[in-house]
This record gives sequence, C-alpha cells and structure tokens, in this order.
Amino acid sequence: MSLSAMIMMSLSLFLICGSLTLCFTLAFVRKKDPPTASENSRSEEKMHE
Amino acid sequence: MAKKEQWSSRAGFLLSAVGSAVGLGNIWRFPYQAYENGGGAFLIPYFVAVLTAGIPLMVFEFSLGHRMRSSLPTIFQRLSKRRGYRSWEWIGWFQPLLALFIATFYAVILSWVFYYLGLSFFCGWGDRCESFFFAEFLQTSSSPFEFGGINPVIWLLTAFIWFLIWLIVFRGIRRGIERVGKIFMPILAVLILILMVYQLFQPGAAAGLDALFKPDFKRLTDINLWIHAYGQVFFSMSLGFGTMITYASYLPKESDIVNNAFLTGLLDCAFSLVSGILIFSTLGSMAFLQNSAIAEVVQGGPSLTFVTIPEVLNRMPAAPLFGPLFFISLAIAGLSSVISLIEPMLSALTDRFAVSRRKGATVIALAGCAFSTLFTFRSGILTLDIADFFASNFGILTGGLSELILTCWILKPDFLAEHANLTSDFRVGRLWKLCVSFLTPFILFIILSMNISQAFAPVGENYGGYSFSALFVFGWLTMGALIVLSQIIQYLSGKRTRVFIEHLWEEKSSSQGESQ
Repeated sequence: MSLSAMIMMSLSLFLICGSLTLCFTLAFVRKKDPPTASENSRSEEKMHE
Repeated sequence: MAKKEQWSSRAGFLLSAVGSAVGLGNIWRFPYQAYENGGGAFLIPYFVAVLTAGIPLMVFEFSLGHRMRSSLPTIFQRLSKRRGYRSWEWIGWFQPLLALFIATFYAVILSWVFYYLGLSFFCGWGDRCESFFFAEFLQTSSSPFEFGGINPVIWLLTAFIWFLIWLIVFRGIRRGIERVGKIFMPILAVLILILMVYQLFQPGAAAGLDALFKPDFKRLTDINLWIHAYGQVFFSMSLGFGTMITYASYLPKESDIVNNAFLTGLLDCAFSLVSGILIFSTLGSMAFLQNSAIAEVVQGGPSLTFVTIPEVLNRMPAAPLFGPLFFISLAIAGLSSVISLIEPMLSALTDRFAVSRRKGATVIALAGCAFSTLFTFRSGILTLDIADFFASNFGILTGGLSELILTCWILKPDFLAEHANLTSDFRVGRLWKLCVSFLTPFILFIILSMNISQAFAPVGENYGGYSFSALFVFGWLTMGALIVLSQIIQYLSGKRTRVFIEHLWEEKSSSQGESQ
C-alpha cells in the first residue's frame, strides 16, 4: 500500500472518528439547558408573523 | 385529534435515522464512485459536500419536520399559505409517492439479497456466478419490453419482504420502527466491523485499499468529480424524499436538531468509508487469488453484490461464515432503509384522510406488493434499473429542489434557523443559510440539468444504452405519473373529499362494531 493511500485513509478515518467523538460527547455527556419560556414565546411569535 | 406519536429516546431516533440513511447504496455505490473518481482525491470533495450540502440539508429537513410537526402535505400546505401563494401541497404528496415507488423496487432487490443469503451457506450459485445471477436466477430477458413471466421465487420473497415491512410499520413508531432501529443498527455495525477486520488480514487486501485510497490530485480540477461527490452525498443521506422530515416530526419538543443532523450525517459517512474498506480489501484479495489486476475485478451496483462477491466467496476458505454475515448485513441495511420509505406516505394518509395507522400500513403494504410484481418479471432488472435511474436522478432531485425553493426562496429560512438554535448544541447562522439557499439548490440544479442531457443523449451514449421508448415509458412516464398523481391526491385531500372518506371509515367501523 502506497504512502499517499495510507495517509488519505488515515486522514479520513481520523476526521470522521474525531467529529463523531465530538458530537457524541456533546449529545450524551454535556446537556444543554432547555430553552427559557421567553425564548420559546419569541419563537412562537416569529412563527405567527 | 389523536396525540402524535413520538420517539421514546434520542438514541432511538438517531439509530432509526441512520438506519434510513445507511442502505445498499453505501455498500455498492460509494466504494465504486470513489474508485472511479480519483480514489483518495475523491474524499476531499466528498467531505466538502458532506459539510456544505449533506449536513446543512439534514439540519434543514430535521428543523422543518420538528418545527411543523405534521405530515409532508400539511407542512407544504401550511408553508405555502403563510405567504398566500398557490398551494405547494403537491410536493408533500410527490415526495411520499416517490419514496413509496422507490420502496417497490427496493423490496425486489431485497428479495434477491434474501435469496443469496440462503445460497451463501453452501455457495449455491456454483462456479459461474455471472450466468447464474442473470440467466438462471433472474432469467433476464433481452429488452425491458420483453416481460416474460413472473419469477415465482422472486415474487414470493418480495411478498415476504412486504410482510416484514408491514409487520414493522404496523406496530407504530416506538414499538415498530424505533425498536427495529435499536436492534438492527448495532448488529449491522458489529457485523460490518467483523467482516472488515477479517478481510484486512487477507492476502491482497493492501493492494485493494491502495486502489481505493491512492489519490489522483489532478482530478480535483475536474468539475465532474465534484458533481459526483455532491450527488453521492445527496443520494446516500436519504434527503429529498421526505423521510427525514417525517422522522423529525416525531421528535419530542426539546430535541437537539443540529447535533442530531451532524451525528446522522457523520455516521452515514463513517459507514460508507468502512464499507469502502471492506469491499476493496475483498476485491484486492480476489485479484490476488486470480492473479489479476484490481481494475479487472472492480464493479459497482448489483453486479458487485451478486456476481463479484459470490466469486470471491467461491475462493474463500471461510465462505460459509463470511458469506451469510455479508448478506445478513446487506439485508439489515436494506430493510431499515425500506421501512423508512413507507413512513412519509403512512404519516400523510393518517394525517390527511384520518385513516388509522394499522389500516394505512395494510393498504400501503398491499398496494406496494402489487406494484412490486412489475419488477419480478423476467425483464425486472432492466425496468428496475431505469426506474432507479429516474427516481434517483430526477425524482429525488426535483423533490429536494422544490422544497428548498419554497422554503428558502419564497419564504426565508430564518424561522428554521431560529427554531434549530433554540434547542441545539451547535448554532446555525449565515453560513448554513448560504448553503441551503444558494449552494445546495445551485448544485442540485446543475446535477439535474446534466442528468436530463444524459437521458436525451442518442442511444449508445444515453443511460444504460436503452432505447428511447424504454426510457420514456419506464422513466419519464413514471415520473410524470407521480407528479400527476400527487396533484390528484392534493385535490382529493380537499375538505369535501376528506370529510366523505372520514365518514366512510366511521360508517364502516360502526357497522363492524354492531356485527360483533
């Protein structure tokens, strides 16, 4: 297997695995506070405009 | 009005959405596309396409479904009425019809997979894999118009697939689709990883990976390479026919939209990449055993699965184990995708015609099975090939382009961005709006134009070398029929007809109750 092929394969796997780890950490470890009532009502108003 | 069913957990939604995105195309389309388009260099436009079109469009569809929390026809009707435009509800019927149409031939391909799964235990395809598949098993006729008879084995297996689909969707979102996703997806991931690791240690695997990943950077200046990368991303992620919008409409109110879209898109990418490694290490070991070059054994599409892989299995000592595991993986990937193709229409029927989920699932499964019969004739693989080309290259692109034009040009995507940002870990902003309003529609338009020119090219240079009449009947006419049908259903779903159908259901239910 050539070096360039090896680099492309490793890079793409690293990119995918890195991004997935980041997203999974945010999704299942860090919990974002739910939107406040005022944020919710602002969104509703926007929708009705 | 009955309360809308919801996913019971985030993991359940994610696994179901990934199950929808990951399908046969990831296994037999991505590796071949990468190999044909510059090897490792293809991965650069591919990742750019994932970040600028795939994930932004996924965020768009998730936000739309989650914000409107309705079936597709209701979503598009409400969107068009917001600015007083003529109703675009037909898009909301066209997309579910298209998904259902795709499911009718997808079920037939799955029947082939199930048949080969049975054969794989003892390599029952014999030594001549190509002639076994086309001549003995499919008994393929010479032209799409030469129907021949129905292949009873394929028909029975297709009916069985529709029974499985019915069994899953009939039970609802939580007990049906979500439960299947939670069981199937981890099994699929484990199976594919086992197969990949096993293949990586076979002689010749490194040469296969070299063929897949060796970059030809000169190809990066070729516009076709970029078009193919965007096309691959768009087809692979189940975008443009309403599945993701429908799935997102079942999300609970406080759901993260943007991160879910990232996870779904990235997991689909990861699956494509792992499949690429599995397929090319397998092709590498086959070339090694045959003492031939990789280029001589590389194939894409059904030929890869039903001709090349059986040829590899014939020469593999662990074939009775590897073969069934490979075909089980294909069956799982296909089944989880095909059930998602039913959901947009089922959701539309229950929402607009007040049909119960169980009745809707039964009607759809029976109609789907009846229509699938068209692809179980001896000309099935030819008609299926044309139908697939037109559904993927015109239907999905038209559906996707129309939803973007309506939402991002006629309306503004700001309300979706605000909605997504309310509950999401990542925030979307100007860059996302730029992607969904200009970049993605522009690229979809370019791909659509190129496909139209290919379909009208002279015989020999056109798709598959089919006659113009075959492309017209099984391609253009079918797509036209879907558009007309969506307009008719839009008319039928008008208030008076809806009230009449609801009344009919009520009368039938009460008469059944009395007779009991």
